[in-house]
Amino acid sequence: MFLTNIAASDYRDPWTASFSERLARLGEGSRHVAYFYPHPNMGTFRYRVLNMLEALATTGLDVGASWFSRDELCHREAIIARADVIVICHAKYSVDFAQLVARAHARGRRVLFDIDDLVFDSRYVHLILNHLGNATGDSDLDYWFADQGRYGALLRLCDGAILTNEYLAERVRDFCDLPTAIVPNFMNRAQLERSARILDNKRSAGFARDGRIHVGYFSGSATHRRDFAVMADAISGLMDADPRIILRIVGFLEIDERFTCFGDRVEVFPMQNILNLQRLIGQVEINVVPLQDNAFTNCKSELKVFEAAAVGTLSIASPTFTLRRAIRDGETGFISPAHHWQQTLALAIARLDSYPDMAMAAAAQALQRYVPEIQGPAVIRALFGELPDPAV
Amino acid sequence: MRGSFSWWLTRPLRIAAGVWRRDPEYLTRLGQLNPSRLMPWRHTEASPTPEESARRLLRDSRSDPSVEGLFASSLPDLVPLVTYPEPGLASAGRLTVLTDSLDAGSHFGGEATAILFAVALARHQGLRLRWVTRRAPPEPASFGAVLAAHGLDYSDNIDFDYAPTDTGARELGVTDRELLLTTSWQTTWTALKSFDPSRIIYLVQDDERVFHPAGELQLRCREILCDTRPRFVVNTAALRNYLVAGGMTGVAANGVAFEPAFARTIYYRESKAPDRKLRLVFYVRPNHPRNLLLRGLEAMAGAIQSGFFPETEWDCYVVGKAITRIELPRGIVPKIADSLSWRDDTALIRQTDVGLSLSCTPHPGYTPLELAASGAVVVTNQHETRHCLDAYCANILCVAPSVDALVAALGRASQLAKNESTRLSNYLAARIDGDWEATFAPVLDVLAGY
Repeated sequence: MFLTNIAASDYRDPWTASFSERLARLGEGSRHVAYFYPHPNMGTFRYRVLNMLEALATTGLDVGASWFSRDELCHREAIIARADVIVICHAKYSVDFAQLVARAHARGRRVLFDIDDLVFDSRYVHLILNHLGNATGDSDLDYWFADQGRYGALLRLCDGAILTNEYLAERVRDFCDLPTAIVPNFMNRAQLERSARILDNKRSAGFARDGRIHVGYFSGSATHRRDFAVMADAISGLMDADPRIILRIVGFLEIDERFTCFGDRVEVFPMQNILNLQRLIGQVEINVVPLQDNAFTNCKSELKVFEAAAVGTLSIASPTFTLRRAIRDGETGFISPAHHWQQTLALAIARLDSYPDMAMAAAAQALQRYVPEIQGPAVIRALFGELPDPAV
Repeated sequence: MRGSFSWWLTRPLRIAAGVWRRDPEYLTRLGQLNPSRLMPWRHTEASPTPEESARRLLRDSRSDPSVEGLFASSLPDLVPLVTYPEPGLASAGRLTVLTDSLDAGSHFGGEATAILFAVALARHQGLRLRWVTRRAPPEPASFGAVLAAHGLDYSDNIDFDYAPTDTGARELGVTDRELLLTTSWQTTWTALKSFDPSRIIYLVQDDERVFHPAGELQLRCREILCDTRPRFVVNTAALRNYLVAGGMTGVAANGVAFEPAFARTIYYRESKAPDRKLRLVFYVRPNHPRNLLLRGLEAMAGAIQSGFFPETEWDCYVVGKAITRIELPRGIVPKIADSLSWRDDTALIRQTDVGLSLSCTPHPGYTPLELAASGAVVVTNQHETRHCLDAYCANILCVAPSVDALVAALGRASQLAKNESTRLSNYLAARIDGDWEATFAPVLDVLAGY
C-alpha cells in the first residue's frame, strides 16, 4: 500500500443552486442549453450533467447552460423559451418528458438524448438480466422490458443522441438510426484537485509503500458479481501464494467464500463519496477492472481507469471496447484477457520497481483527455454541431 | 506367506474383495490404504442408476408421475440448455464450447486438448470464443495455464460462463451465428435440444459408451454417436475407426480424426544424472476403472518378484490421485506421487525410464505417448482393435493384458531401458506429433468447408 497522508474529506453535494438561479444562468450568454435529469445524484448525473456544465464553462464560448430535474418539468415553457438545445439525460418516457419534447420541437428547439448505458433496446433485456444475475420471471421481465422500452421510446423522440463511446453509439444507430455524437465521461474540477494532491503526495514520497501489495476493486453498484468472477480465481490463487497481497473491496460486492480464509487480508469499505474514493484508490498499487465481454459491458465507460490514473494508480482491465483504448498495455497499465489475469497480476507485481514511471505516464494520459478543458469542445460539437469560432 | 509371490500377486484381489464386502476388519488391517479413495468408483455405484431412480420414483406417490417428470428426476444431467436470443453483432460470430468444468484438473489430457482445439477452431474461422461450464463455475486462470504450458499465445478475450443443469439455472444467450463445440455425449445431447444440429461439433475423445453400464445412459450415448446431423471430430484415427466399426453411423457419416500432439518443449528426453537410479513408474487413475489399477499392481509385483527391477538399480513410483500407500514384493514401497501439479507430472514423465500405463480403451491414451515422446520405454496393454503401437514408437511394448504377458513385457522393458543405443534410436525414430497446429490443420480445413 502507498503511504499517503491525505486525510478523508468532507463532501457536499454540488447541486444546491435554486431553480431560479439555474434558470437565470440558462439565460446568460449567446447560446443556451438545458439539461434534464430525473433526480440529481452522485452517479450518472454528475458525469453526464454537472461535468458537462463545467466543461462548457471552460470553453470561453459564452454558453448559458443549466440543469433541471424531472420535478421541474412543470416549468418547461420557461426553460424551452430560454434554451436552444435541450438534453434529456438517462430519462424514461413519461407524459411530462413527451410534452417537453413536443413543446421544444414546436418551438424549433433541438432535443438530444444522453445515455451512458445500453438500457434502451429491449432486445438486450435478457442479456442484461443474465449479466447482472437478476431473476427472469414474468414480473421481472415485465419490469425490465417496460423500463427499457420507456428509455427507448424517449430516445426515439429525440433528434440525436450523445453517448460515451462509439460502441454504444453503434447500438443507438442500430436501434433508431439517429445521429450520434461522442462525449466520454471525464473528471470534474473537485476530483482533479483532490487527485492532484494525492498524486503529488505519492510522488514527493517517492511512491513509498509499506511492503504490502493492495489490489483494489472499486465497485460502483451491486451488479458486478459476475464481472469480479472473471478474475476471482486468479486473485485468490495469487493471495494463496503471496501473503503480501491484500484485496481491497470498495462499494457493493458479494465475494464468494473462497476469500473467507484470507481473513483481514480482504478489506471491505462501503461506498464512498467521489473525493474519498480517490483517496482509497490512490493507496492501492493495482486497480482491477474485470468485465465480462458482452454487448452490455462493451458499452461501459472507462472512468474506473482514468480516475485511478489521476491518483497515480495503475489499472489492469479487461479488453472491452473502451478499456482497451484507455490503457497503453504495459506503458500506462495492463490489459488482461479473462484467461490471463493471473499472469497479468503477476507481471504487474513483478514490475513494481518501475511503478512510478508507469503511474506518471498513466496520469499524464488521463489528464490529456479526461478533463473538462479537453472535453469542452466535444460537448460544444455534440450540442450545437460545428465548433463555433470563439471570437464570434 | 506374507512375502510370497502368490501372496503379493493376489493381494490386490483381496483388497478389491475386502472393499467390495466393506469388511471392517479387512479395512482396518489395511490401515493406511483408504479404500474409498483408492477405488472411488464404488461410491459412484452407490448412487442410484437412472433405472433405480425411475423405479423408486414410480413407487413414490409424491413424485411427478409424467414421463417427462420421471426423465428429469432420473437423468438430472440431461437438461436442455435454456437459451435466450442475443442480438448478433456484425463484428464476428462466436464459438461456444460446452464442458462440464474448467479448473486445475483441466491441465491434463482431453480437457487440455479441448482447450487447444477450441482456440485453433476459433482462430481458423475468425470466431470469438466463449467457454461454458455446466457442473461448476469456470476458473479462467486454468484456461490460461493450459495455453501457457503449450506456449500458445491467445490474446483475444474469452467470455467464460456458467450454465448449470439445475432447475431454474441461468440462461445462456445465443446469437444466430453461434457455433457449438461439445465435449461429451451429454453436452451434445444438451446442445441438440436447443441448437441447429448442423452448428454443433462434437469433440469425441473416448468411447463414452463404456462410461455407463448397459442401460439408459449407454443407450442415449449410442444414439448421439449414431446421429448423422452434427459433426464429429475424433481424437485419433484409432478411436474413429473403432467407433465406425462398432456401427456408430454418425461418426461414420460426419467424423474426422486428428492425432494428438506432444509439444517438444514439454515432452523430451532428459539426461539422467549419473547418481540417479533408473525409474519404473506406474501411471494410473485409481478412480478410472479402465486404467486397471489392480492389474497394473499385479504386473508390477510380478516383475519385481521376478527380479527385473532390483532395488539397487531402480526406484519405483506409482502416480495417481488418491493413492496413499502400496507395498510391493521384496519389501519395496513405491513412492506415491499423489495429485502432482502439471509441471511436476511432466517433469516426472521426462525422468521415467520404464513407464507402465494400462487402459481398456481403443485409442492409445495420452500417457503411453507422453512417455514415449519423452524417451521412456512403455509397457501398455492391447485392447480389442488396439494391438500394436509401433506406428508411434518402437519403445512402446503393447502386449496382452494378462499378468504373464505384462510381467514379461516389463522384463523386456527393463532391458531396453538400459540398452541406450536401441532406446535412443527408437526414440529418435518415433512418429509422435509435436505440433498441435499441424495435427489440427486437416480437421480445421474440413470443418471450414461445411
